[in-house]
Amino acid sequence: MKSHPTAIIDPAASVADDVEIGPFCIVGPGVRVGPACRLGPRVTLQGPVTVGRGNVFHAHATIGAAGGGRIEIGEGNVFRESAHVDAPKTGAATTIGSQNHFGTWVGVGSGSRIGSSVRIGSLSALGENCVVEDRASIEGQCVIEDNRLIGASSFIRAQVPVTADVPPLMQVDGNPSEFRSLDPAGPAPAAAGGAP
Amino acid sequence: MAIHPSAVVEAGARIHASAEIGPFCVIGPKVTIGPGTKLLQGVTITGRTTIGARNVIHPFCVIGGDPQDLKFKGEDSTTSIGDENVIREGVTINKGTMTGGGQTVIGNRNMFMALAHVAHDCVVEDNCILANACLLAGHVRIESAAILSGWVVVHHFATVGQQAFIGGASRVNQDAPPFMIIQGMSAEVRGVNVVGLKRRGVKPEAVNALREAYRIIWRSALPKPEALAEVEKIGGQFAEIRTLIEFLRASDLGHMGRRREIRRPAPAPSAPPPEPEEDIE
Repeated sequence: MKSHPTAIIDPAASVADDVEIGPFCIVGPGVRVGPACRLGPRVTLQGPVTVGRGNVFHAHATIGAAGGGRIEIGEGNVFRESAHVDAPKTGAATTIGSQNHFGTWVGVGSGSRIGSSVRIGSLSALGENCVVEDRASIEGQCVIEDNRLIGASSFIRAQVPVTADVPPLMQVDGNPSEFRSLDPAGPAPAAAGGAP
Repeated sequence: MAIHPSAVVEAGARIHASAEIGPFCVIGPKVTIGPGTKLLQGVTITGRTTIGARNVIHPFCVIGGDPQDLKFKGEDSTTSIGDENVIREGVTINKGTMTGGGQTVIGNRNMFMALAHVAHDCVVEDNCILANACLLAGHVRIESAAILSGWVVVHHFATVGQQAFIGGASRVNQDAPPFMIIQGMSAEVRGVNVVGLKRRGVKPEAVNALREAYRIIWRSALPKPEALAEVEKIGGQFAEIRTLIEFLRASDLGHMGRRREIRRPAPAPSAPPPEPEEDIE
């Protein structure tokens, strides 16, 4: 582990050997960080958080909270500056799949479940207990209400408030939001149901 | 040189003797900071970034970070910031990509309010204001003295013309003409930015000519080429009118109403079809 001397890493944390930890980071007890992860300056990982291989956390990214519930993060995700993932308040874990991209200031609400190959643009906010399926694409400044399902390979345009579930493959636009079409930029329906 | 003892300044960073680096800042090895520039606490400057004189950078900004672009493969691209800019809390400015020109450029005397985001390969000229939480996608150009209100999103490769005013929470999908007020979920021209023009000392005759140009181009039934010819005929003696006409014609030469689309790299013949949205700032 290559850790900056100003970083605070709890002795009860488990960090793989080749992880890089930048200045002023905080890694709390109960955190497990897999190999090839990078933590930029001032990243905070707290609570029972499991991080898989090859995740990148840019400056100020904050995952979980001391005393919070369980968070599970897969492999190869990118969390840009000040992105944050909230710990669940009760029950199931907040889970993040693999190969996702979270833009600056993206917030993932407690208890939410994010699939894989999802892209969420800057300043978008997901409420509590949301489900975002694989390959969904959410542009910047969107607001997703609590308990909403965002279907696989759907596309939500910038600044859209999502107040209802979004079926797979649909494009959502407008304020108030409405379904516009099948997502013309998405994969063909035959391919969309396959494995990521 | 005033560097707080808790700041982390990596070897190789060049910091002018009169610059000030606050507590808990992190400065990378390829960073240059000019005279009189102040970094308040907790600022991160990374990448090959040059910052000029007398800028003030507020807490938790990250400048020169990697682009949020799938095409980026770790190239040593740059971020350049001029003089006397004010960059408020939590602003992020990403460096360029080689396919987009390799540099993100900020001019002089701009204000970036809290949480604004400037993506890779953007150019922000001088005296611009980006209010809170504005998002510029990649390859965007903001011309001098343009004002973007809060929560404005600008589509990648779009250009905002000089002295344009973008209303709050607008979505700029196409080039926004100079000297105009532009607003809406799919932003449209709503009128002439009269207040802004007066503040910048534009002559009343030129403002009146722009009003007439607005009426002819956006409120008459004339096809655009004829409308531009008519505007040129009646107001061509004013520099502002010539700038407006040149801007609109250049946008028409681009694609989807965005002149800078011509900068989009062509896909290799054997490559799979490109994603239309290359990034989702």
